[in-house]
Amino acid sequence: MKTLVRAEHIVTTFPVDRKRRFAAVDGVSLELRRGEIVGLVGESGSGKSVTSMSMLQLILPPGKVEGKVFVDGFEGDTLAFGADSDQVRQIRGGKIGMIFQEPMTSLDPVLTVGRQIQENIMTHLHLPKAEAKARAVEMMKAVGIPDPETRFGQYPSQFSGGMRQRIMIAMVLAAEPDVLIADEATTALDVTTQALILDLIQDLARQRDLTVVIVTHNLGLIARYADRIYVMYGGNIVESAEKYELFDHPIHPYTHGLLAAVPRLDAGKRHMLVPIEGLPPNPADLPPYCKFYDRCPYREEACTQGPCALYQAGEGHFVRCALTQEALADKRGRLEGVRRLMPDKTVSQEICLEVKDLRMDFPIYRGLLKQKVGEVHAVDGISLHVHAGETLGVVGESGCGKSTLAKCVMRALKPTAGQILFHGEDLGTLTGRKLKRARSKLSMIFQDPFSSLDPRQTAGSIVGEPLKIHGLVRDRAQYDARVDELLRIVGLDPTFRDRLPREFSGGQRQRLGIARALASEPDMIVCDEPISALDVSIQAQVINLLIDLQARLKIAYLFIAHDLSVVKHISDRIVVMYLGRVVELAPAERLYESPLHPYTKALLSAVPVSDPHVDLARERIELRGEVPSVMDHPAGCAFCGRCRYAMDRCRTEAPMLRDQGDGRQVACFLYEREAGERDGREGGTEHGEA
Amino acid sequence: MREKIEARAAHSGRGRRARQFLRALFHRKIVLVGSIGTIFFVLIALFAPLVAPYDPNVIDKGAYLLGMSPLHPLGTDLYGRDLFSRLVFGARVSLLTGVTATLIAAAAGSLLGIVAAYYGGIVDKILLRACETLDAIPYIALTMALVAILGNGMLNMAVIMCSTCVPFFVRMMRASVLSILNSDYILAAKLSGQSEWKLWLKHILPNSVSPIIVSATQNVGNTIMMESGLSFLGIGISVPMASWGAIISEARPYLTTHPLYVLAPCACLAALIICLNLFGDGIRDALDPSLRGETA
Repeated sequence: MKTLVRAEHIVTTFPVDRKRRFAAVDGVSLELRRGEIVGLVGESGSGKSVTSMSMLQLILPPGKVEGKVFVDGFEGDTLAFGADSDQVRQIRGGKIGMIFQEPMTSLDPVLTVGRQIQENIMTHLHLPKAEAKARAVEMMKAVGIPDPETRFGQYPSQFSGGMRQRIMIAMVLAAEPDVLIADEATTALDVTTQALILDLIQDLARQRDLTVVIVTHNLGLIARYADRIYVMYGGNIVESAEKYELFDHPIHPYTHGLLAAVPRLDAGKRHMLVPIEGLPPNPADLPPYCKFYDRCPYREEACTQGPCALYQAGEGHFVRCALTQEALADKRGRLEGVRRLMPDKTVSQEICLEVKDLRMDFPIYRGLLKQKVGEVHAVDGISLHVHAGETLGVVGESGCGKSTLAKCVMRALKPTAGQILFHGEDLGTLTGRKLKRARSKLSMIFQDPFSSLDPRQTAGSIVGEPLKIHGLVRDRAQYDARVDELLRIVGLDPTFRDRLPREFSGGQRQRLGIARALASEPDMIVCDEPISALDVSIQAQVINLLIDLQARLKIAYLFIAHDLSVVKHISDRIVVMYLGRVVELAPAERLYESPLHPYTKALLSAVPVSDPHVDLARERIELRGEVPSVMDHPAGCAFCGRCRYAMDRCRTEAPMLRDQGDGRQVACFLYEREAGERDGREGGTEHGEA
Repeated sequence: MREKIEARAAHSGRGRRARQFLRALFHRKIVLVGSIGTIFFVLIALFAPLVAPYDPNVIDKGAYLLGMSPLHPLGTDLYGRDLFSRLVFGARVSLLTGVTATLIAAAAGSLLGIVAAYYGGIVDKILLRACETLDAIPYIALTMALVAILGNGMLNMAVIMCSTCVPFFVRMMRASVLSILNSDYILAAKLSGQSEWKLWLKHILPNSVSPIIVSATQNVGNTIMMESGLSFLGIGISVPMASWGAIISEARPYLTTHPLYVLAPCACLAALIICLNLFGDGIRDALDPSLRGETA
């Protein structure tokens, strides 16, 4: 295969202060060949984005890029041309296109999308206006935008996130680049949309013989879409290999660590995750030797003897480690034995929380006089229960009402109708002292560890606040002792209690949030996306902490997340939500082994498994369209517009949640038995045909 | 690594954070210059009777429009008053009116802003409309009217000038309280059952004051400028009292013959405003955590 881009020893530095500079990218060499999909994987701060931006000379002063970049069709080192030279401008956009994470900000809001694509074509291909327009429409069709002629004249705000990312792809590809860099391009999207966009990119790459670089932190995506992978850590490439080689025979301790730290959809639930100890490195404070040394379970004296070189471990397989392949394999044998089993936990039959037919409507106001023109049914008749000491997972795409459900349960919102029984008392009607008492037994962990902690309160007073509110301690000494204990429980050093939140890392902040939630000794904690803001290796630490705490303190969790692998790993039973309704409820293992509802099936198949063999063997169900807006709720089944089994009945009548035996419930006519033979058979044949 | 963390934890708490704040504040040399300048003017204003060689208001008919001399370092004005002494007392007037006006405006504005944010609805609307109305009246017209009603003493001037900057503080406080009310940490405190007034005292107020402090520091310069402008126009501080603006106005006809008479008060005004702005910028940068290291 022909090499299109070759980067040699890129070093990108930024100033720390007047004297010192730190290297965000420290000697990265890589090459991109025609027609392959390359994965660049690493956690935040690993230098993966900076690497791709350095190649395009998108680093602004005071940042500085050194090294050499050779691009096919251009004479010599393109870094020597300078960032504003004509050649580099031709490379950017013309030869190498880039799409970014935020589809909201990368399009100009005051120009129509068509015009933006058209202008890009005119700049790079020098076509006349009319031809450029025809080509823009053609490109919009190619990226799967329905009715491109009409949508050509629309503004970015009239498109959904997924559609905007498609527009970005159309815009970049319109200039006929040879290389497309997708920098976390799907991270902000829902799993099903993410799968659609990456499938599209993959198809386009195959059709046009395009080279794609997928920059991501998600190992599953890499396993599904990439051909060749570079693993980055602390500004270095620590391992690179063909996909199958890398996943079958990972060598570098960090690659091993990453694979063990991520829960997998297809894995059993007997074992705990193996987190990578410590914190992600601070790029400004990296050691001159192996960057992974502090967190590496394999570390030895020899590792600190200067930087280690990349060595070849197999065909096309390179590793940067001071230890040889054999030494690592030998050590692995001894370390592997320590994988922890899940702690035993007791789930009692006692019901802790029961939600009965909960509805939450939000009014929509429009016009000059702010008249109420309708209602959004954010939560549309949900019933569920959580046993004491149990974890109930709630999954669904954005807009499905899972966060509204959490807020109703916490009584942050007053539900429109229905009951929320907590230990038999309806939270919806409680007031005053009774509500306060209920609040002490029910706490919450938030998604964003940055905004959920008061920036001006010390760690100690954040954690201790519930103790004071509920009068759980008698005096200062007892208060101090309890705060120290809480900090210790979540794995923080009690001497940090006088620090402010900003002095902690993201993972540590989330631990503070957990300690605060535990302070009032709750029976139940509502976890609203508690780990989605954290890095992969830190996620595992927090998940393990939550599991251990549950086993020890017998707390029930209502665990809300969009990451299905994580939900499966932690939950006993799982609720799948779609547009404010529950479509399926089942024990965790069973839901993943044999999902019933078509939506559950599609959702699960959209999540890639971080093992390419397993992922290849899984059935892929493509979901048509996108989640409809909650504003125009379909009359019948909310899912019927995207469902491949949809029947006439689905469009007029909403299916009820019905028991299917062995603890599972599903809201779908395909599984309706009581409704008569005829329907059952009809559903069955439809199923067979599809 | 380990020891470093522990050593850092050992001297933690308020003292450490105060040091951190000061380090952040004076990190840029130019801020240090601004702060020293500001302190210099404040000291002069405080100890004006000691610094000034003469009574600034004593008229010496025989010694008008003198040049620089050992007796009168900057010469005398057209009534024979010592210019240097008048400038020293002028600093007092400028700083006193500027600071008082800002303090009143910031306090009243914050209070009204909190009221607007807390009650919302109709109260919020009325307060915002009132602010807009106040903004719509040209400030010179407004001050002229108020001077006519209240008279032009130093305190009155401060009150009058503050009325023009109150709307700014109302809006600022309202916006910052509203954004804090929507944040997760307020929700967290509410959900753990925190009472309403403690919520405000412990979480909302401490977090909403820093933008007010920053704009107040920057506002002092603006008010001083405004006071000089008004005095220049003759609707400022009452006549015999020394105000830089009034001195510039008096000296205007003598620009060609006695340049120092005009330039000296202009230079004082410019220097004070620049110093105050530099100091304000420094405070802003130091109070904004996003500009400081995350893991300091």
